[in-house]
Amino acid sequence: MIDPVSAVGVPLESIGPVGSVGSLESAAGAQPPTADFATWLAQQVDDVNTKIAQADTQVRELAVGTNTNIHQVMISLEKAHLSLELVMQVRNKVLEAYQNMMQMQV
Amino acid sequence: MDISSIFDISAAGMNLERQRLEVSALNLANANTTRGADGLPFAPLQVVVRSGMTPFDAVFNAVNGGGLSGSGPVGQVETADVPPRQVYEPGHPDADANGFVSYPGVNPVSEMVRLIAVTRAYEANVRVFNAGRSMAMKALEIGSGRS
Repeated sequence: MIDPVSAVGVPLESIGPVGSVGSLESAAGAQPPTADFATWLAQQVDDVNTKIAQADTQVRELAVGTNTNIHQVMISLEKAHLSLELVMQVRNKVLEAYQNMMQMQV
Repeated sequence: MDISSIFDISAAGMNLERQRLEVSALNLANANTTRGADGLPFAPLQVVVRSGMTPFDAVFNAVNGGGLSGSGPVGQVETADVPPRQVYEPGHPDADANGFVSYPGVNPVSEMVRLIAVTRAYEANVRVFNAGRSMAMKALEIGSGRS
């Protein structure tokens, strides 16, 4: 179903030789990312919120008795947990970078 | 996050095993039902599992070399073509002219074996789910060990 190489999304030929990585021209000519990081983070937080709310709804339904699918509830909970973990890790990295900047001697 | 597609596939498998368990429970519960709403003995049910891929998906994938993936296995409940079990009980109200009562052809032994298989298959789906989850959690640990 999934081709292991093409699933990465980057064809191997487009990566290019290693020697061109260090040249300043290629770095200066690189396109800036179209969407900024804050937008991405806000979108991710929104996504996590949606998933937690969905899991919460399903837990309520299970408690009330309208939904009897235990594994579906557990899977929703795990999905919410994983998304939250991803955002937490991103937050950790950002904070770490910020603190490194603040500790810089001037 | 692409790992959630693994979760969805596992969920489809768990749904299927749950459905098979329900059908087995129904068969065992109705093993002695000699008369249903239609006057006939209970017909044993079975779950026929087919791929969730529709014929259109198959043709699309054949032309474009992939792209559409089925949503996992889909179980259909159908009546099993099993002859009824004839038991000689002349005093039974559902007995025929010769005194035989038609009991449903539910085989308790094969239903028990099916219960074991269903349980194990469900566990296998849970195991796949847990493997995907622990892989995702491990991936989130990348780079967290340095000081």
